Amino acid sequence: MDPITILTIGIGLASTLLQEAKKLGLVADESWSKYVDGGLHAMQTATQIVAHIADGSTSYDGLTAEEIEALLLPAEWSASEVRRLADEKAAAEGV
Amino acid sequence: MRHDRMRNVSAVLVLVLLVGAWACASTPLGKAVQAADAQKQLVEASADEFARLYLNKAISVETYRQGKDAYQTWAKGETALAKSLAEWKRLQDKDSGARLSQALADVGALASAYLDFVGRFVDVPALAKRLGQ
Repeated sequence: MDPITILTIGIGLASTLLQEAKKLGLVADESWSKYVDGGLHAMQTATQIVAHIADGSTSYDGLTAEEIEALLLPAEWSASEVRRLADEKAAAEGV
Repeated sequence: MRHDRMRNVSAVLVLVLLVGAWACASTPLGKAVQAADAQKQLVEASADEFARLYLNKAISVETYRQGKDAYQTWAKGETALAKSLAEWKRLQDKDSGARLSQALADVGALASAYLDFVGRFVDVPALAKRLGQ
């Protein structure tokens, strides 16, 4: 998920929470400071999520030689269930 | 007070965008591993789709066998690439670099040959999109 999507979701969530809080009478309509606090908190959360994704993205850089080999070694054809079933069907057809 | 908070919000927004841009950066080796991993995922996912087509009688057993052979040929090249990348990570010398370059060229050609064949039956671009590539 790209940062903008995360940000949009975060802000959307904050708005929904604000609306619910208003319904419950917890937040007055003119209480912009609480609205901004909510938005700020959502963006801070989004920042943490993006930073986490960034860690994952750049983790390719930090792989050891053994990890690179393990990551890239291809699976046997029959390692996949659907391919194993297809092999069984092909064998049954006598090919 | 409100303006200060709005400035804070803007600062966080800029930070989010900067972190997003930083997420795209990586070392040449990291990029090579990431690209090879993406290609491997695409080949393996397309192999599943291809086998599914055979199970659903959309392709003949001869075509299935050809696709499987192409996959196994690619797998040999991919194995060589995995070992070459790992070796280059360990040694980072001229010889291991040359072997890695050759393995990259070989597996690129094998993956193209495999995807060209399987792509006649499987919607590979749609699959790549589904995988987020």
